[in-house]
Amino acid sequence: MFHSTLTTFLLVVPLAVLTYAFDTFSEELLLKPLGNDHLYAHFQFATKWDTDPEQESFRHTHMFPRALGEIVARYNVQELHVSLTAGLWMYETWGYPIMDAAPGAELWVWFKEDTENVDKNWKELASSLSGLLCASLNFIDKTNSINPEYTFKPRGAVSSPTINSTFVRYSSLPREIVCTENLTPLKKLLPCEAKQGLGSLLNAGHIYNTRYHSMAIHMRPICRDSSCESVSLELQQSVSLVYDLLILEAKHWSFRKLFGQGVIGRCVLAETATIYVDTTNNESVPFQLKPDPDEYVTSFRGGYVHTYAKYDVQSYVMSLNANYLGKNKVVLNSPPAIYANQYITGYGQERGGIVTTIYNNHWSPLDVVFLQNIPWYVPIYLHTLKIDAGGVRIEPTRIHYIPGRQRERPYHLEVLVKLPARSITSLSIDFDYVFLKWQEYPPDANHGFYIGSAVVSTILPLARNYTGLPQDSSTISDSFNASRSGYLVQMRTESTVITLPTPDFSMPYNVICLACTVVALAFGPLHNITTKRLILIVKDNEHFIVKLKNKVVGIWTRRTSE
Amino acid sequence: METYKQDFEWVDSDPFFRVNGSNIYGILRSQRAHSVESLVLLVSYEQNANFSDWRSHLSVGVAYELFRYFKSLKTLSRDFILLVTEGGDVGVQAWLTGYHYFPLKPSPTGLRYSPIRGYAGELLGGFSIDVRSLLVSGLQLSIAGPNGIQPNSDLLKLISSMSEEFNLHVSIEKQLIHSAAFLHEYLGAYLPFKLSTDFFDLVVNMLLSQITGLPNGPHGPFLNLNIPFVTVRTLEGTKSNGVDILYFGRIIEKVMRVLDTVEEKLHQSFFYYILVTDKHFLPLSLYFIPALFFFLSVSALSLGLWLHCISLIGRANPRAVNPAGDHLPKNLTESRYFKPHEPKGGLAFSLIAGQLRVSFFLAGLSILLAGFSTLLLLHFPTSVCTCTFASMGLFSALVSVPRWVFRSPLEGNWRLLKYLTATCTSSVVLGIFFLNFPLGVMVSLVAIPLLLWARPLAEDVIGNKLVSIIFRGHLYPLLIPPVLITATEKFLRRSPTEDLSLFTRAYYLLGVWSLPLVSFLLWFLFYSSVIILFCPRISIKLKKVIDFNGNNGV
Repeated sequence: MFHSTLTTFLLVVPLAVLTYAFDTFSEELLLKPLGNDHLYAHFQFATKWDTDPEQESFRHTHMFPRALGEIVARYNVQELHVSLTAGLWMYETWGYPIMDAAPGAELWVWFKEDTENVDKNWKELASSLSGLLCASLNFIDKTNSINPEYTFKPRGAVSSPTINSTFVRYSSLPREIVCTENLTPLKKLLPCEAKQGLGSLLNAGHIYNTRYHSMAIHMRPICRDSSCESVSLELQQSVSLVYDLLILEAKHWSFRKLFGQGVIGRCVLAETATIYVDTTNNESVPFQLKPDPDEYVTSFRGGYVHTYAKYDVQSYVMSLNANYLGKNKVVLNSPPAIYANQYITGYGQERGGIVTTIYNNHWSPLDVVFLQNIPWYVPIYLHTLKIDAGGVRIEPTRIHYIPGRQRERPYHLEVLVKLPARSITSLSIDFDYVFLKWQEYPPDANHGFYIGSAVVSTILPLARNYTGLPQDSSTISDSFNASRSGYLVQMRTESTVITLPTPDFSMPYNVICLACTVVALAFGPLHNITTKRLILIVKDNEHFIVKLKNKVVGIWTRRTSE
Repeated sequence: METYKQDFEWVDSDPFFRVNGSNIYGILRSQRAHSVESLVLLVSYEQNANFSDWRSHLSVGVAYELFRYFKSLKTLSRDFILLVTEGGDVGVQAWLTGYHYFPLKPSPTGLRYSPIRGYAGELLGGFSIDVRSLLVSGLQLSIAGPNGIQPNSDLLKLISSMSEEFNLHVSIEKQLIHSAAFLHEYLGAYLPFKLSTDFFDLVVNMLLSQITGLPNGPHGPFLNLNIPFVTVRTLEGTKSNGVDILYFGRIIEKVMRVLDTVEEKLHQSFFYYILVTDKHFLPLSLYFIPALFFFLSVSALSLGLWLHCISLIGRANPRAVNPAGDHLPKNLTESRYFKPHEPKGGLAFSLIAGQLRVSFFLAGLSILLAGFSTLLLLHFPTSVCTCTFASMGLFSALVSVPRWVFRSPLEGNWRLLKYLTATCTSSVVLGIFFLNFPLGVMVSLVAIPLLLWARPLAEDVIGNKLVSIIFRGHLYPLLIPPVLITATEKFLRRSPTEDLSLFTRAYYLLGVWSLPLVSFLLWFLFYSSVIILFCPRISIKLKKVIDFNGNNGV
């Protein structure tokens, strides 16, 4: 019996190992000073699994998180992009992040083309992700979702030469608050969780002491090689943080200050584990790194040179310090080629407007796609759409507009427009404030209602202030020396809050109290009048003692007669 | 802190009033939120500030230090804006207009400004600070906003309670009447009790500031956009009664932090109230009851007239009144309804007597309230104020209405005319009450007695039919617009030589004037139609009345 079991074990295990698809995991951390007083830390965890996503059942996974895989398989998902962000990325002063994300929660998904009911799958997928990430993604449904025509194209490999945008869904929850309960499930999706490797730096107590923090999961099929005959599944998990050095109360930073501890060894499952520190501005803001880097990497990309100090994460506890030397030179802020702001105009509770100002600092015109997902309770009017740059009216190249329907779908506006060179272009559209049904107001009705951020997409010809990953790569190291003909930027503007006409919710309570009091006061006399008979009583002038005597005698006589 | 600049210019038709300048503002972004809401700390830098005097720059210094402290806070959940404006209200208005992106039509005159570049979401509220000394003996709040709008009372209570912690007294600025000292001077010697001047001052000032609808600080333009805002001024202290300016900074810091943590914006409808003391206020729900008395007095009058009109129509039927077939009674003096009533002392005395009655009543009530001020005002300030207004309303309702209805000598069409006038008055009074309670009180106090005692004059007394109709006491509301306009302009002029700029007229007086002008228009339309409809009949009837009575006039 023992021999037969052993024989089976010896035969099956190697067979399983041989048939199991090959997967790799890499983890990277990029630290980049932003001006004089901010520090950008970006964690990039990439898992690549050489398996066919069409055939994969996700019953047996190695480093790919099975919990996510099952959800992806169940709802026929081709690409998944979800992010949870708090704070606002300041494009004007910080440049572009490695991964853009809208404030709050953002989810956009491409479903496979054989999906029968996309809306149903979308709703159920959002609910499942809500459970997986402990976020309120279950509030996503077709009333706040759109299928963008131009903005969100598939990021990964696609089998069909044509792209059908009916299989994409996009939604955002700008009010979602990101905290520890979202970080813990994200860490559990990592192969080494937070026990080893760079994941051990993700301490909630420290990474939420930042000015901007964003965590994201991106899953997509990618080409396994240049011929793209077979595809692999790629999962990117990222955490972006921007530290305010004034909050840290010191200009010098270290892993202990930033994350509370050093890296606890190297994740044994990771193929590569690297830390990069951007030293491009080391001349103007000189700082000394301790320990010395393993090597310096120089990257030529899109006409701009960047240098990075590179550290390989070792198997022992590792820390990193940066000591600033001498007095700083003033760093002149060179704003990126394009950035945008969004704000609400007008006042009162009748009419308002949304204005998005796009700044084009580039020397040539730029084509941009502007996407706005406006809730159904903010009805916009397309005829009021105005695009002007410096007082000159600009005609949009194309407009994709799907009007909203109350309580059914949001307003979907997508505008293709060519921005003049070195211009400030504003897109404005007017809306009405509407009265909601009383049950549609949230518990804190007077806090206001959020309008999600607009998405402005463009292809930049130069890579100034650009740190994003190329579309065909998944790690930070792949972005070095990765010059391309264009660099995709998808900026998110600020989300805005508006105050809809809000009823006085205490009024029903007052009315109920008043009505109950009146009824209670009226009930007594009415009840008396209707149930009692008025009888005329002859007033007697008998003495009190005589009356008492008569009463006693009366009681006595009644008893004796009974 | 992100810093931005905005240039502006106010071009007036009169070159004397041209204002130009720059607003500088910085945005302190919160570490946690994504710039959807913000609080504002405003310093209105004086246009003619004396640069050699350090007191002129003290407010800017205090605000700057406060923001240096705020920058070190990790827990801010909203953006903070430090706004330093110049050019008085023009600068504040330019910044607000730019922030809310009102598209401006090209015009040779008016406000011009450069666009705003830095945004921090919705403006939830804030303060304007005015610091003039290093020692502070108390705080003075300026709350009057344009067109009677006032900041949310929660904001005032917040400042008041925070100041109490540092034993700093908070008072409300009394802009229009600075002291009721004349009461002390003339009446104090004859009265056995002490007058409460504070209460009297405050209530009268609150009423007047709401009637005139003029802001008394740079917070005015913010209130115009329904952003809770208040101006906090420090009162200069000495070493004996003053505290260090540090405490003022701590109060502002505390209030800003409280506002920062409140989840919902200040939203209760307590923006339209009358402050009775610095802690007690009379809300709309309380002062609307006396307002209803005023309205009902005119409505009751209107109703009574309507009933009489109906009865007169019945009696106008010759068969019903006189079977003999006469169209009118033989002797009108015998008629119960057409009995002439000659007021003692004539018409003028009648009018003055009515006014005097109201005035004596109010004066008596004020003295009574002032007399018992120590007891009543200490414990029931709000009730006292409500009772005062209710008594005034009741007085106008009870004293005058029956007198006019049953003793008037007017003939049918005049009665109808007065009925329509009363109906129109009641609707206008109600409308004014909804918009501006103190203005409603003022209009009621003038309009109701006039309406009650007004009586027609015969045509031949005046000499001209049209003039006689106009002067028959029904066009008195026409006096309201010019009186109000003159009054507001008088209050706005800080010195006799100072004239009003177009900016003040355009931004502040529009609301004050709009209501009287609308009422003027309504009256004009009403009287035009009445004259067209009734004038021939009125003259015929009057003629007959004169003939039958054998004398001229009623």
